[in-house]
Amino acid sequence: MSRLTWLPSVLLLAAIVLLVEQAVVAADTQLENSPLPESVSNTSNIDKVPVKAELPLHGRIDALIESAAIGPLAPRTSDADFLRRIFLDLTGTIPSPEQVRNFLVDPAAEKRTRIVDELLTSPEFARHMAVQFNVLILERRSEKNIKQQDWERYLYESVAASKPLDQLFRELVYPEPSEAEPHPATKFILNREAEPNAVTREFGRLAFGMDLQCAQCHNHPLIEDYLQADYYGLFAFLNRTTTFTDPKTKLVGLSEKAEGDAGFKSVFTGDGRENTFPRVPRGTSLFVEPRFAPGDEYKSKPEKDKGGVPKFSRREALARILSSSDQFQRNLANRLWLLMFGRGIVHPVDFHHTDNPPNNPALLRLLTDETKRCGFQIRPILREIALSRSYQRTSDEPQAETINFADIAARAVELGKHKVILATKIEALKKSLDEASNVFTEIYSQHEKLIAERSKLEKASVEAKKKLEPLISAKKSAESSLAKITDQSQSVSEAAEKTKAAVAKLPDDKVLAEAAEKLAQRAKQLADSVVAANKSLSEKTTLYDAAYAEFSKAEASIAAIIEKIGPADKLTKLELAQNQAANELTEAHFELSSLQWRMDLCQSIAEFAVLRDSDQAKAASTWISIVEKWTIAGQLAPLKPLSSEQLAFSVMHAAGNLTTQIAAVTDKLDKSPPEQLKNAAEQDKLRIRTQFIQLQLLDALGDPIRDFVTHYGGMPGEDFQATVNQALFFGNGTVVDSWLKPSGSNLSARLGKLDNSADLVDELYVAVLSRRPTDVERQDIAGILKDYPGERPQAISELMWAMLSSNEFRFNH
Amino acid sequence: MQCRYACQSGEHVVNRRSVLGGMIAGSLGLASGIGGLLTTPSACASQFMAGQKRILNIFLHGGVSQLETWDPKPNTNTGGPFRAIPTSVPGMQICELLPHTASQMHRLSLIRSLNTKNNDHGKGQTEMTTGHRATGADYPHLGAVVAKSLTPNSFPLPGHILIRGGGSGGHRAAYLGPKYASVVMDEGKPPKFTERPQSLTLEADVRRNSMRERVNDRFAGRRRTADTDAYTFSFDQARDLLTQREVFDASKEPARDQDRYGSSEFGKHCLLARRLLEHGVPFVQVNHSNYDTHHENFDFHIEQLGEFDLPFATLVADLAERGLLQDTLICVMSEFGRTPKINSRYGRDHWGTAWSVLLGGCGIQPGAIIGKTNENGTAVVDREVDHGHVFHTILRAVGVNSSAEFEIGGRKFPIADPSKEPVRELLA
Repeated sequence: MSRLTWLPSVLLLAAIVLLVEQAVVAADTQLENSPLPESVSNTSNIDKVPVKAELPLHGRIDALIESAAIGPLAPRTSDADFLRRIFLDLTGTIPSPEQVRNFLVDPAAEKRTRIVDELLTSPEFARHMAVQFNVLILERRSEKNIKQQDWERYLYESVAASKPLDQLFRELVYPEPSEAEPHPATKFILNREAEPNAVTREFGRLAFGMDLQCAQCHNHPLIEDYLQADYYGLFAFLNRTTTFTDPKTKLVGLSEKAEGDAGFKSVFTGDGRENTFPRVPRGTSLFVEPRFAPGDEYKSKPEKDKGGVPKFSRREALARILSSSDQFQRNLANRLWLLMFGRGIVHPVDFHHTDNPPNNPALLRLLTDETKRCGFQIRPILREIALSRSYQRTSDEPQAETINFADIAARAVELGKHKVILATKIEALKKSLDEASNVFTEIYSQHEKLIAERSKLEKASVEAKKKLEPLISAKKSAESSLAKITDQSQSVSEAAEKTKAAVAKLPDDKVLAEAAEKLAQRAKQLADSVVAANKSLSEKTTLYDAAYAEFSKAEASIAAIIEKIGPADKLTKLELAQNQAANELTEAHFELSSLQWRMDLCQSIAEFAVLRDSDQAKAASTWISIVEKWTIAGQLAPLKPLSSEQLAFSVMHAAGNLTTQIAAVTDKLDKSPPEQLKNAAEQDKLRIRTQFIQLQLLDALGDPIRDFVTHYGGMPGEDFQATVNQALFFGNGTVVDSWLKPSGSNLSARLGKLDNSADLVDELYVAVLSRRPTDVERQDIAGILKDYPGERPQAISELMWAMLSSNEFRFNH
Repeated sequence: MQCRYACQSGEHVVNRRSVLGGMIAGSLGLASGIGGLLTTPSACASQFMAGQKRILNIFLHGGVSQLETWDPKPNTNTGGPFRAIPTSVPGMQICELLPHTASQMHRLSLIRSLNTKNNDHGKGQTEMTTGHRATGADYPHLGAVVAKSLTPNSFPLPGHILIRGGGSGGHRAAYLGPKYASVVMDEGKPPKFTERPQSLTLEADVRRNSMRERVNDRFAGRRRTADTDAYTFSFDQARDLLTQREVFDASKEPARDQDRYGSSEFGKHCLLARRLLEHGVPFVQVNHSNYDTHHENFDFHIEQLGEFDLPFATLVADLAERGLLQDTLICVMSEFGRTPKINSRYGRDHWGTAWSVLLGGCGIQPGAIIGKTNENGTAVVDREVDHGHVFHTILRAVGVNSSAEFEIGGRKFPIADPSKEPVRELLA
């Protein structure tokens, strides 16, 4: 955490820095050299302020936010606030006192950019992201199937190695099947017990920002565009997934079947479909899939103790098309924004739909396009957000005096004009959607009928084959029995002929004559049998021929209908056209909502101007909502409550105990390095050592972190909860209390050694609140220390606790 | 089209408005002073009590036998050795192991037709206490749902308390958040962190909190939001709760009552539950272990129910006499019942196919019997219900609309399983 502990990893870091910088520079140059994508300039924003193409992404983010702003834009925040903010957002903890002091005295103009780049390539960034992904993907579920340590290592390695986000999501939904050991990413599905409804809901939420749960049983009652068909479209990719248990290891693994369709019926209306084509939300359907003969569907067949891998895996198909889904891209961009602003541009982040529009549609469009253009790399996008003026604004509340009321009134009029234009546009777009939809639906229902017919014919073919099979063997056995009898008959009749000749030569031999008689009789019997066997064979052949003809006919009709279904290109084209029309309408709706939202804000501000003089209580509550809206619009930095993990790490770090823990973990690792580190190639050692330190640190701090999670809970983007249990835990629990006691070189011990109260106050503020105290604060604390009735260490522990439990510490500001 | 940017949950709005109130005005110079705004009066819990609904859930761990409790089948091949005895409700009989409870049955009711289709302890416990089938999803415990729905604003005590002999973990609040997870009283001891560390005197605590408030006041000059106020407020609540620590101490109850409830752990826990309910805690669960009687079912039930019967009956009678029963719903549940078939070790095994729960008090028809099993208890023959119906019924009885949804951070969660309904004929 401190500069010192980073030193050993500097070499490795340099390498990563280079890599990332190249990516960033590449992205930048790409941005600078290529013309602005049309979508950006088209949808730019309500006020049609031209966005300059040569601006880097952070400049374009600012242009979109600032041109849409209503009222004041908060000024740039102080260096101290910026440093604390960027540390918390990128590394999950506050900076160390040295880092604060170094940064504050650094005169370099580009020091903010430098620290952003430094932190993005730090091992702490990988750790923090691993922690965030863990919470996001598993929602703090209890450990199941895949060991938490393996899972955390997987996430850490993914971030450290700059795995693109789309690849991470692909791995979650389709971890490469492996005989040797399960892919750590199977945890995502296995933790939901591979229950297709649970996986559908979670994957819809995670990957598309669409929590479709309510659409499982009926069209969403409140959200017009969450349809049961959306739910089952996604479900169809996932409902063939099952699990198996390895008999030796007792480990549960993933398996997939080659069949299983997704039919549904509304519990309200009874409407439904027998079969839904796999489709991601707002995407095109998989109307035609590769087909294999019955019995030939698997690469490896599922068995009780072995997972199945079908030749065509629908889950793999989902993984393949994922990154091309616009909704997926929007969701990723929105989630990246959430990481830095504590709130999505669409918020709640799990509910992308028409009635929950992005606050700034053009901004989300821009970020979506750039996320895709950066190859779904996390770092370049976070970097650009961090460098924006919007991210770097103060969170201090603006003064009411800074509002230019006349200006805002004029804006309202202007917005009203745009609203009229938009409303007309929306009517036209609705019509085009209706048309596109009608054409598509017609062809779709034809296709659906053909598919239904095909499965009927397939069933018939299977039946015919079933009938045919016993007839084949019956025919075969008739053939072989005929052959056998014919052979016997030949032998006997030859013998009879020869014996008859012998009798003619020895006419007095009675015994011989009797034998000849017997043989002749037997030969006749056998000749009759041959006739009978011949007849039987011809009967069986007739039956077989008839059944075979039926089977061939069924096969031929299947071939014919498959021919008729064709590649469904036209259908896909029509669906695409329908989706495009729907998207255009949605975008227009979003623009309108955003515009209306800003008009409402103008209205609130106008009301405030009046209420200020007439009704102070109402003015106060109006003011609250205005400030909240400014925050949402990016005109003012938010107060973001620290997550459980950020809080645990930050309290430990402030109290000086994190540094001790890192030293202990590092020491232990160097004294007894694990095999993987010992055997690593020289050039990998540093990287692997760093990774071990970070992951073992998480392990070593498991108990206090769990304590914080138990009390503070929380999911990213969730509403803040302050509870009495938290306050009791923080005030009376042993965890925090133990960190306040002097030990080694922790804060309490360091402060205890400072005789000069001015130095003490300075160190206390820098260590806990990551800033220098003001003069008032210096005097205040000096006064407290002077009049303190008891021992110095006790006074120090009280002061530390008061700072750590303060709002200024609890929030990222 | 309406934009829904801000969270509209009732709880949120109330908190924001009540706490923020004039405060922001303060920073605007519209109201004077901020000192008094954030402190609640050292609130006595009783002020919240009028008409406030509560739930007492007694969980008999391991799976209590319905045949030795609420649905006896004497003189049948499955009935076992015990007799059925009359109760204070004409025609209603329960097992002779519960003579004291029998005298309270006119205040209580039985559902004898549970078919929960599950014989697994973990799943049974989850399903009975969350009202949902145990799949991969994570649902809040009944206690969390009740605490979320019934805890008055600025109630100084926890809304969801679990009293148990021992064990680990607690009741999960899932998406409702940590505020509604259970506060545990292990062995009836006060919840964690309700005692100051030894090194911290009251004076020191007051000093450091006033220092915290000064730091907060300075920060409020920069920015003040509903969240910062909620955080500040949580420390005030903690301070208030500490002043009410005695609520958790059943030894403050009169000696006579302590005698009446007896010296068993369960007896003490029942007295503690009465104390908590009297102070308005919305959800109290008392666990009683252990009924998992695969061996010697009958001996174990004599022992366990011998411990259960008198304190439970005393608690029911006390709540009724003190006028609390009309606002307090009582439930006695388990993860499942036990097999009618008696195994070779004189035990009964896990059985979710036909068993019973007891409900009574607030919102419940007294003295009722819902549903019926066949002659020897091997199947439900009338009014089959499961955990989902029971969950709805409990919530409806205390006035919670169980068909509504919670809106948490913009996500909607049905309060109870939407495919189930309350047992309407049992509701008062």
